[in-house]
Amino acid sequence: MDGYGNGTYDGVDESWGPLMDGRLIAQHDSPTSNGLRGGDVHGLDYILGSSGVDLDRRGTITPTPFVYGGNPAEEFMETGRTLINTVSFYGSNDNGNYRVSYTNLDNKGIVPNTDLRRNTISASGDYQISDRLKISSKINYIRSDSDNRHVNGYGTESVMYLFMWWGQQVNVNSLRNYWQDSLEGFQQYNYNYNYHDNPYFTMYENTNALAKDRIIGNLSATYDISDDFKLMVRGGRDFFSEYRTIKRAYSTQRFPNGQYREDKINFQETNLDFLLTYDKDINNKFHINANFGGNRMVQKNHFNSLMANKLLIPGIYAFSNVDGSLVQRSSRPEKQINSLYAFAQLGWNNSVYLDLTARNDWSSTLPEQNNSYFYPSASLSVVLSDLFDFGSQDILSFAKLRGGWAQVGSDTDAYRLSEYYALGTPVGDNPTASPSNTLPNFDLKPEIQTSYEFGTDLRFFKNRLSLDATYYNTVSKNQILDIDLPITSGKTARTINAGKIRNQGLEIMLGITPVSNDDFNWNSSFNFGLNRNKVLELADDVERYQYGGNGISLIAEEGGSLGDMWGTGLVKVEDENSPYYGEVIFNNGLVQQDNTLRKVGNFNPDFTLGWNNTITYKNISLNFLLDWRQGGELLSRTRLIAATSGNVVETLWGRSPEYGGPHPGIADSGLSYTDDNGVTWTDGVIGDGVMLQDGEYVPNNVIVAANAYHNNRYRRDNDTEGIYDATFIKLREARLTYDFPTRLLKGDDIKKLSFSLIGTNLWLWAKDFNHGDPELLSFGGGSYVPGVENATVPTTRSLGFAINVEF
Amino acid sequence: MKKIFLIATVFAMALWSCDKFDVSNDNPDVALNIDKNPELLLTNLQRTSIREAVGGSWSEGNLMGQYGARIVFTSFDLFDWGDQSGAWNNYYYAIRDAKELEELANENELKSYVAVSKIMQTWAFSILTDMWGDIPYSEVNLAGEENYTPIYDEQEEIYSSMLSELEAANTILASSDLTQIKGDLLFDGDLDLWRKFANSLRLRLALRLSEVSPGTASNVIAEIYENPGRNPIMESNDDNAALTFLAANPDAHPVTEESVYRVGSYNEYRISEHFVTMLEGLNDPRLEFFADPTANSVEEGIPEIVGMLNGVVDGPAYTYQGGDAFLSKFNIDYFYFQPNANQARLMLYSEVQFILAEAAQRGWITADAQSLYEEGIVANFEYWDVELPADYLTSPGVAYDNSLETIMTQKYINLFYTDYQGFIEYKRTGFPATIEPGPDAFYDVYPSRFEYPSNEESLNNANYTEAANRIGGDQITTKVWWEN
Repeated sequence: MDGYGNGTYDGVDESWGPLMDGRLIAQHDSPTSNGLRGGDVHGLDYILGSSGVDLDRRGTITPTPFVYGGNPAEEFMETGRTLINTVSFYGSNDNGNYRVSYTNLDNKGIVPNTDLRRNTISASGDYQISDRLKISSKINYIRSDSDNRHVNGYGTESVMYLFMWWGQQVNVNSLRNYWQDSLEGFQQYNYNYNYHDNPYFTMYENTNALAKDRIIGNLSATYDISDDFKLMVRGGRDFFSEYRTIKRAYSTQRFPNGQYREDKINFQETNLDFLLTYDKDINNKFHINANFGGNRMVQKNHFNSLMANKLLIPGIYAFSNVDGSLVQRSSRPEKQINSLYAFAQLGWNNSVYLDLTARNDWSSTLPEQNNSYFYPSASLSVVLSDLFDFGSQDILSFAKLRGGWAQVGSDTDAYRLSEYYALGTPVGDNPTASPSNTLPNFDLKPEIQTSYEFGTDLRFFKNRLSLDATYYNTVSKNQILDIDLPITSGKTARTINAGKIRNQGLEIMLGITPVSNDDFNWNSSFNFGLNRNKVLELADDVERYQYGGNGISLIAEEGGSLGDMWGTGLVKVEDENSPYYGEVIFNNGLVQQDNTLRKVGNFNPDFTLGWNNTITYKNISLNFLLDWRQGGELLSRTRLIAATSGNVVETLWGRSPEYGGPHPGIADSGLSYTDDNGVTWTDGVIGDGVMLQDGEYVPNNVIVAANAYHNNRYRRDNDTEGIYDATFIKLREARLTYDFPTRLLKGDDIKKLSFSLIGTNLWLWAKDFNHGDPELLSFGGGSYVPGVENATVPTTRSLGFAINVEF
Repeated sequence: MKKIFLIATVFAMALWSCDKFDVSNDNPDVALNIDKNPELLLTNLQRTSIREAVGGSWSEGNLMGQYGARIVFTSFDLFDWGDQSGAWNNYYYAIRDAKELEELANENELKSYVAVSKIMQTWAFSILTDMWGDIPYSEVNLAGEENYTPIYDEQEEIYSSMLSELEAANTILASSDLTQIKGDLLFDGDLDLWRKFANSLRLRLALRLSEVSPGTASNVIAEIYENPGRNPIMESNDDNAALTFLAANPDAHPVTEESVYRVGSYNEYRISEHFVTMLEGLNDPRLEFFADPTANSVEEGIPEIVGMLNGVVDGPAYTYQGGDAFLSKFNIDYFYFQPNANQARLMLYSEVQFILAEAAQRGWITADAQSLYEEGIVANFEYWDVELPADYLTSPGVAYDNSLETIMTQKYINLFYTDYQGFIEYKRTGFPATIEPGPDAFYDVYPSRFEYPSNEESLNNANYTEAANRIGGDQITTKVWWEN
């Protein structure tokens, strides 16, 4: 086994090999007669462009014991560290005040050679120029930079992908010295050259650096026209410029001749506002606050990427070092929303409040005839405990009821109203173009969301017990959707206004203070959330709407719910009258794939419950948060793929002792069979299910090799085999703080001093999912895909401490 | 002062013109019109469809035709063919572009592009219908006219339309006032070669009807063969419809190191035992060109070529014959390490000779079947640059014996690594008779077609269902019309 397909079985990257019992086998890290390693297979002429393997130079491998290499992810990951330091100053005089603060964050990731630094400076102040005119300003500057961020997801650039396909005999430490002998810069060293990159090589050579400057600032002036009227005008901008440099070294699987790439992202949002306010106490009971305002919002988001996908000289990351031509990509969406709005609050006796709003938006993204849209809202709240006498305040201290109705309109993204030709990558010198894939809707309308909610806020026993409960119901209409079309129609989607989707739910917060005295305080709160989603209507001629997915498809259909996951599964007995109804049907001992999409789960939880506690004793306080998520399903792509590659414990079932099984806790199939060549195997599985014999279902009795069984059963398309119940309970955060008594702080210089110990993700119980944290999400197309876990870097447990000083 | 301020404020608000924008809603990075540059579509559609044909021949066609077999992930080889929506989509994308090109060319009176578009469309449609049976044909590309669900046309009608489209292209290309075309990856703008390809493709499609409609097949072939002035066909390897990729990524051959196809993936595919046995039986030196000796035999100094058995389940598959090192790869230097040595073969001159040889053998044209057959063999050796042994044409199994099987054996070798053609011709004729389901295959009969893509099932359900019922069920074992 030298990693180049010159040994037995090393052309593949799966783990079904002989038992790792220390038998002697030539391996990638075994020494050779020429003092090199087994994996140092490339000749020096490789530098000149030959693909050549030079086994004479390497020499003969001295076999070394074949043993389990340890959990690569555990060995590879390092302890991360995050330092956060903050200083702030503020001051004031009769005419104004200011505040300045500086925060420095310094993070070292758990994946080797990853980091993130962030410096934040913020300053704000206001000044009374005259009796009537006040100027305020606020500015934040945030600088983030990193020498390397790791790649997430499924693909050779992700280290978790490498570990999913890992050779179980490989000790990751044997790969630390990641260049082949005398080929530094040219050829990485690895245990398998056919599919994978060395994870150290990936993290130390193939870096993804970023530098981002962000400035958020505004300037406003408020003029008091009279005692009741005032006018505010404000201009502000949020601006960032992000610069990413991506390097790939020679011999990277995806970029054999290296790559250099720069991405530039320029974002700016400019807001101009005015607001005229009328505020008056009509009499000692009535109060009115009325406002009329306007806003112009312009957003520009420019993305530019330049790539040299082949380098002439290894290690020189510059565009002048390109072999061939540079590839460029850009997109420049821009949009604007103009708004006029009014809002008013009528108050009576500080206990009844009526809030009314009205707003009209004009968006540049909608067709002219539909680009203006109006949406109002109204809400009423009543503090019952002020209006009526409920007896002793010691029992019912406070009672409030509230209810409201609101509409919100929204537009869409820029550039969705035209059919066009996308200019593509040229073929050599020949430019290309292709027609747009989405059929636009020239009569697109804004989306309108209508919601109502009511709730109550009750406090008892001098606020020792509090209950805040809200019910809400939201219906979204005219949603702007890209409905899939078959490519045979010439387009792959068309944009429509459609659908009616309802979300309704309950949010309950219960606060209890069981103990409260001078020295000892215990505050406890429960946070309960429940949401039900239903697709009430889709468009007339649309039965299903697919809106994403990764492995599984997220599909909405009438009567279903957003969050429904659809996927493929195994062929099963569908006849409800059959005694074998629901059982897997085997063919030649193997499961069969059923390509029909069916609902395999829903990623939304049945409910979530958080329990937060703060216990204070004198100067010591302990805070901890427990989270419980009940229900919802998760598709684990990691599990499916790692099972295909024989890298999870499930796949030990049926393997002979010679091949790693049986495993504690996993029943041995106890089977043996003799193949056509007369060889007897103790390795075998008879799958649990039925098979078809003379048109009748009978229990499956065909034995197949364990690797054939598992490899086939957990193929990545068999979505149902990777579905888990995502229920979990975790101790998300705990914090122990010591406040230095003020008497110990000398002088007035230091007003407050405290030390905290902070831990996150300290404990986890998962009902069903045994391959990591069920909260992991996959990353696809630039955003997280809910309901799917796919080669994601594990969640981290962090331990830290904080010092807080106030001057 | 107060009043002035209020009036000024109201005035300012009035000026706050709400339906005027400082930004445009037109994307600056796309073209709204390419009337003057139809070649942009031509290049794009050629790239899409030809790369698909090459990728499909490597990863599916070679397995279905049992030229190659896999040592891992063998489920495809067990006839778990999936819905092949990637191939379906890519051919339909190319057809979409070709239809737009045709429309653009008609509007702007650029008839050479009309002809070229018809030929490319027909080539892509023929692969689709041969592999799926009834397919959307007459109503494709009508989303702009609010037809989102094209009907599936019957294969019989599709074939008749494809033949007349090619004839129309031939007629257009016969005229004297043709405009030059640009952006042509296949023939670099040589319209004579396009015309020869059109008529040669007509021969291929006509022959496909040999079992179901021999009358049409013989009429079309005879009409072409007997009127070479009106219907020029390929006359030498110089006329091949074969694309040479560029030397550098991203335009190199897709299954090469240069295109960053992983060597591990390449090594999953081996030359098949079936193909090795056939070529060894014929003492055919093309074997040594197509395949490398096994790693183990080279190490031991006695190089030999050993093929992988098709249709073995994962597990036993990668221990077959002793495993990886004991099985031959396809010539890795030529097919993998060289960025563009391997061409994309749409159709070769040698195939035309085998078509004519068969037509002569069946008595459809008056010609010497043997010399056409031998010319096909000679041309194919010449194409691969393999020296033809002096006694090859007279050796057992090769020497012409007036049987279809002998012609088909050579035609099969000729169709290696050419989209799905080797498999399709096997379906038509039953030759090579040595092709059979592997030991662990899911079906005892050799499948005929791909299942329709699940997207069609979900997005074009009524038409899909009608077509599935009409052809006798959407299974891979359902025969297409011309097989019946």
